[in-house]
Amino acid sequence: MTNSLLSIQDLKVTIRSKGMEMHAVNSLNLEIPPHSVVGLVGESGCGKSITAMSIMGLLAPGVSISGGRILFDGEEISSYTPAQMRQVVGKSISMIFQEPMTALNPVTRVGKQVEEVLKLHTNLPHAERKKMVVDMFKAVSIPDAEDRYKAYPFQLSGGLRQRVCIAMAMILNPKLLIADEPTTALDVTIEAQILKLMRDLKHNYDTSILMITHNLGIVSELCDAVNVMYLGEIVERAETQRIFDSPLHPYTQGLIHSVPTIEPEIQKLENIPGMVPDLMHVPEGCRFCERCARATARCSREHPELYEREPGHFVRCFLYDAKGEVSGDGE
Amino acid sequence: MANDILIEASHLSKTFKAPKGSVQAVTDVSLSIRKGETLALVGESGCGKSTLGRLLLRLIEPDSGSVVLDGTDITKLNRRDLRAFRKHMQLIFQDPYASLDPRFTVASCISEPLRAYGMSRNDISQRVLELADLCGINREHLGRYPHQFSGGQRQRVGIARAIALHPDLVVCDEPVSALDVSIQAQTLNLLKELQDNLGLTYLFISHDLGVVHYIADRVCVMFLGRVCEIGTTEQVYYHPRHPYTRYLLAATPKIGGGGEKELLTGEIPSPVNPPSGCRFRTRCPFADAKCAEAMPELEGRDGHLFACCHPLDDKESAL
Repeated sequence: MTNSLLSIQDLKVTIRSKGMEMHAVNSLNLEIPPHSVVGLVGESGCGKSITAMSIMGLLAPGVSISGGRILFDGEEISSYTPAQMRQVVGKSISMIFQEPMTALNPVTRVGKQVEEVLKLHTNLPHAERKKMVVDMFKAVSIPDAEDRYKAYPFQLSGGLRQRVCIAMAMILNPKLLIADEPTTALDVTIEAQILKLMRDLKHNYDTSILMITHNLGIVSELCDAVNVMYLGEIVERAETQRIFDSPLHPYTQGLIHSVPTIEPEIQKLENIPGMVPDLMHVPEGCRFCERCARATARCSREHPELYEREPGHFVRCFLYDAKGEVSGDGE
Repeated sequence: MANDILIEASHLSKTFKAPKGSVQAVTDVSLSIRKGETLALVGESGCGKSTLGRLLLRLIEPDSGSVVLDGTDITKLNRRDLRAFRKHMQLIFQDPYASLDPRFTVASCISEPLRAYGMSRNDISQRVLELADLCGINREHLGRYPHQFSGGQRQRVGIARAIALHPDLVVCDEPVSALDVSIQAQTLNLLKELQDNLGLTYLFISHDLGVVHYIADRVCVMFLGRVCEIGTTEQVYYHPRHPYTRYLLAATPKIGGGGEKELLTGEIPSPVNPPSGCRFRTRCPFADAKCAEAMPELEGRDGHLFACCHPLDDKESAL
């Protein structure tokens, strides 16, 4: 059944702090098929980045996987030791981050930093490694690639720095690239260039991408399928087109309607009342119920399952429970 | 007609000293904002939007040019008069974490401008409650500190503080770019509501074209310290004449968008060493020898002005 490249099964991530336990990610299931771009969207604090860090085995001290497992290419990487994980990270799975300045070492030449990946994972001699780096720089459209090999990060613009990070992530042709808000820190014309580059790389290198973002426009333009997260849970999952054509979950609908667009017909922006509760005050029952206009008494009592409303379209909301009937107790 | 102009800036320029020469942050910018209107300033990082916003408030001194607010040339005011005049113009900042004093309670953050202008203690507490209601801050939370608030609530505090003195002009410098979308929508609706109820005039600085489309009456597009194009939101979004405006619009990720789009090549040139002539020419697909010679002047009609030797016609400007 599982021919996914990455399969996250029932993942739970717990943060321990000051004797308290918080569940940052709760029974998360996520599949990334080969050759696909899967989006993970949600607002700050919904657990997107912590999910990415769990895959990479890079959870901070005090944060740990407390249940479930992560399979990559059939291997259970969530039970790997750090030493085993180092064989995978950078080679088969790699990651690019939001802020390219802080992701790069400020006192090392960027070419050396990219070359380091080759040093760790291959036995190639220096001259060959250097050639590969320069070729990769060209592949990600860094102009004057030979000169830029010797540049320090501060000498490059934000867009070029992100290209260096992408070069570093792609140089060993990984099967999976995790991109955590890769364009949030960039200007729109540069953002458009980077998104185009990622689309091209996906074609040329056959790499799957897990795209973590809060920008629904990016999801719409880049992703094949979308997972919407709210407070550590996936609340809706479907193919991209479906999510935007017929969003089911009230949170997804709210998100889509609260994005101002440049399309002509614009009314008053709808908004989702209130704000995301913190992890210490997760509501019982449906985690979204306090902000939901369509919540019923049942929503604050019981926790909804992820219902498959249409083949491939899942939603965690009682409005769509088992028989696909809209249920509501009490008007 | 001329009477309903609230603020008029003429030929403003500002150059900053940098280690390797100087940065022309704002070069010869003229614009005006009518009473009750929202003018948006858009452009990429380093194009001079924030500098221009600060020049209009005289938070920095212009090298040349003037700013007339309601008949008073604020660039000519002396220190004391300027201080008294400041209550007419206020600023909302981008980062609601950095712009509130962490050791002030929320009530004292909001009341600081009132104290600075010598309002009596009773009036102050009355006004703070009023402002809290206006901006959707729970009255019971007024004794709390900023760190106990979320980003969206903090921004409400920043807004309450800015409107405390009944200003005419409020400069909003990227007020929603640090907020999540659901909170962003709440904040934008609040700003609109306040404008309708209090007759505020906004200069709205943003790089997010979706947000600007929602809130602005008129839009001014800047590139490297110069105005490229200015007009009503309708004119600029649906009939852009300057190639840069069109590329900006095309580059914005859109729901339902996708597929191949025309992209600008290259990076934003350095403001320390801007290109000769038209500053956009190094990234412009239409540029020719003429563009390198002289900076094109702003021209046009019906309030729709653009600075370009090769303006797009209506067919080309369609997205």
